Amino acid sequence: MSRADPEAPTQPQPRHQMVSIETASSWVLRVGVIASVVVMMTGLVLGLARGSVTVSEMEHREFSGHPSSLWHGVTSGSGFAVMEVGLLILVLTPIVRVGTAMLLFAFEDHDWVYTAVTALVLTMTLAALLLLR
Amino acid sequence: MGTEFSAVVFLLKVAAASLAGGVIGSISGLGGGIVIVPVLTVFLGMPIQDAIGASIVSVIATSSGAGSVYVKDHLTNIRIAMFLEVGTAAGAIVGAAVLAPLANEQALAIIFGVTLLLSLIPIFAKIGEELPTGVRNDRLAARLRLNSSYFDKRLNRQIDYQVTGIPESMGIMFAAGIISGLLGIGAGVLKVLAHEIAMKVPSKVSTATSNFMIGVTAATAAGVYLRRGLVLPWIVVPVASSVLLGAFIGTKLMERMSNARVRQVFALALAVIGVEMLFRGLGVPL
Repeated sequence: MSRADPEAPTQPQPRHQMVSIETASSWVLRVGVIASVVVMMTGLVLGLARGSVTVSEMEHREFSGHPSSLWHGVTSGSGFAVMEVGLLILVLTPIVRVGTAMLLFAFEDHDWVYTAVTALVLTMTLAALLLLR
Repeated sequence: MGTEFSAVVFLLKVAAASLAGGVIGSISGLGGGIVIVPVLTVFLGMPIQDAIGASIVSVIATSSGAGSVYVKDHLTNIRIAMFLEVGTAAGAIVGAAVLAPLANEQALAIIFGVTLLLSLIPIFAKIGEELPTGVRNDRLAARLRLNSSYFDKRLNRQIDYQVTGIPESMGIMFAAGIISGLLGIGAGVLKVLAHEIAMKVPSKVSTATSNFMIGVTAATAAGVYLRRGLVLPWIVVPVASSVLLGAFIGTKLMERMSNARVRQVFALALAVIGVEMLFRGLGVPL
């Protein structure tokens, strides 16, 4: 039976569900990478144009990443803060991909084994970002 | 007062080195991280911890960029990736949060040099099979429904495959995660080993699935590096964007070149750099 057949049965099949996870993953990865590169480059140009950056600052100024200081930095037009936001988007991209897969396994497939597996992975990646040092 | 001229030159040097690293990583098939760390330390004299922090973030970019293409081609086995990510993510936490703080600059250089040299072996000796035969799902693989199929464009037919060796593979993935977290690389070579030797997965699926997993492994390790203050935005931003661009250029170049010979030439150059790092770590002047 051809895929375009309008009479084709629309029963859910595992193979089809995997395709929706594939499509969602591909989309999340692409949007995440493009968005992060655009934001990072914007921050870089802004920082170079508006600041007086030295080599020593480049070699030593760390990602601080505290939400309130990030927000303050971005709203006051700090290129450095914009670069930090871009980096966060990049690090969050695979994490969002895992979260999306978890939701699809749970609510589309009702596949509880894989919901649990992806939830475990998501917990570890978020713990690394939020708790560990 | 504007930005110092020397600072702009510094950024351009970092970007140029990373662009070259991205091209070489892509053409040699080793990935960005394992090339970018030696490039930044050996050629730009950067402390290895800073190079590792920059590398782990750029690995997320290249893995996600390539991943979005592979997944669309249905080469990636999503179930295998999701299941084994439990091992790589746990390993990445151990490597980045437990082992990396214990290792000094010399130890990191030695471990990196050895890892780089070992990673070159598969370029010279073929391991795994394009299409393994006679593989039957083991119990765990059957229960987790890890078998799948893909359409092979070159053979012009659907390939169905089954999967075995899940516990061994999970062990290798945990080790790969530790290496990722400790050295800031994707450790794709170890992941491919687990897929092809332990699980007997066809090599096209193995490459795509390994790449897919690398993003999560690297994001887990990068989370720890961000919090440990080892990510320097002024360095990471040019490195990550240039490695990504380099990887894209490398992929386009590979479409026109026959790859075996080219890969071996790059592998020899990388072998020299690996020996350099090893000796530097051991304190032997070259």
